[in-house]
Amino acid sequence: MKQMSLFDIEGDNCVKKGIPFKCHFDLSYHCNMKCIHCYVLEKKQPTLTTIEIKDILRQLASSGTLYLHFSGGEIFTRKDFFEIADYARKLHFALILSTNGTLIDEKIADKIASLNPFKVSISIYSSHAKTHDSITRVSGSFKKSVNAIKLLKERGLWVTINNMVMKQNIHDYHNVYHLSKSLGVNFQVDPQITPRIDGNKNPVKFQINEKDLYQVMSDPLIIGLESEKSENYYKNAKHMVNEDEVEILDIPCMASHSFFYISPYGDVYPCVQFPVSAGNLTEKSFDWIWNYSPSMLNARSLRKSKRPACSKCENLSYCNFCPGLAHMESGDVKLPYQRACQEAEIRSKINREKK
Amino acid sequence: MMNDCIIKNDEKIAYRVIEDKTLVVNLENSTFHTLNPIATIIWNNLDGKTPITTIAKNISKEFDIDFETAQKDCLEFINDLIEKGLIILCSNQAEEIK
Repeated sequence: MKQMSLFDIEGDNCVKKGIPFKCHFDLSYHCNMKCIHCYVLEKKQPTLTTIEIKDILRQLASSGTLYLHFSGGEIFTRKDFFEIADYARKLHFALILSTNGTLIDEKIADKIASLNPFKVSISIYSSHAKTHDSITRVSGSFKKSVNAIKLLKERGLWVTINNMVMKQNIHDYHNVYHLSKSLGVNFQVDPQITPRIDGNKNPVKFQINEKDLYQVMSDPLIIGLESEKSENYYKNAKHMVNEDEVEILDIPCMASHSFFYISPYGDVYPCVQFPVSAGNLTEKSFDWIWNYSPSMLNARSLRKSKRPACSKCENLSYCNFCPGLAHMESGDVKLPYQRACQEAEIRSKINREKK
Repeated sequence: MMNDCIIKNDEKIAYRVIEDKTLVVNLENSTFHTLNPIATIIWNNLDGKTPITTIAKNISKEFDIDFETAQKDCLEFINDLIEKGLIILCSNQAEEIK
């Protein structure tokens, strides 16, 4: 069963060595759907050309990037997608593809299979076509996405249904889970609706309320044993690990340490949720941006223990603080933001209820 | 067999050499393998041109060990990689190397 990621195993080593191990690369913000909660904003400026992308991929390979997550927008709206993806495989990247699946037919599915991607992730918003299509705002999209899952599954690929949970579909994620089981694919639920990449908070209005968030986060169907493992790890880790690892536990997330984001225009961010450009790859080398850009170094210097506003919070050990979301909400990477506080309180409550 | 060459199973794997270690992902079954520095030297020589015997000679020289030991270690490692589906023998004889 394909469940683990090499990133989980090697992530800490890459952080210690400063290796940019995993890249989220949005190849285009253009999309054939109009999802109500979409975080991207298509600009009028030109996207990276095939030649520019190939040059970037060569730079990433020589910097140590192994995982390459192609996303968008919709990746298959790029006519050169397979030229880029084939090139990436020649450079020995492990490819992760995120798509809405609606452009995948038999022929495209064959081409995807020939890439041997590590994983393909397809968004399904509901088990009901009507609800799904009302979120994508494209009639018939549910049918096409489910068909794509079947085509890829038939070709032996590891497919995951990504179920983004919002007000419109909160009562249906169990059914989407059962749909994933009937299709024989993996299931992932995501209650995190983020502001648009330009800071516009419009998508956040679709975010589920605290009561529903508690329902999702405490649902044994979704969380299972994984949360227990993770919680035990973080609760016990400080007693088990050496000084280096304590330092790693003080890092808010892997963004800028071993993970980074590239926009279709060549801007490098620590993460898609942390849209502060560290430089543009049409002007600077990746090596310079990763190792010397002041913005990247600033993101890398962030530590959980250096957030005075949160240091005395009783839920600190349950907090998955995201500096990017903090930045988007208040303009300050160190200030608490509502969603992080809500989630930490819920985790704490779940833990109290277990006792 | 010692004169056979080996190629990496490029269609089915992803890999990256990071400093003196190599991380290999078998994309068929998502198994992960970390190669240590000596294994990484052998891995870097699996280019479809260099015979196993030359790789063993290079390891013997580089680490100042006798050729027989280097040869035995190389063969064990290569058999292991073949078993895991990470490499392919260039010859048509993909049976276990003796």
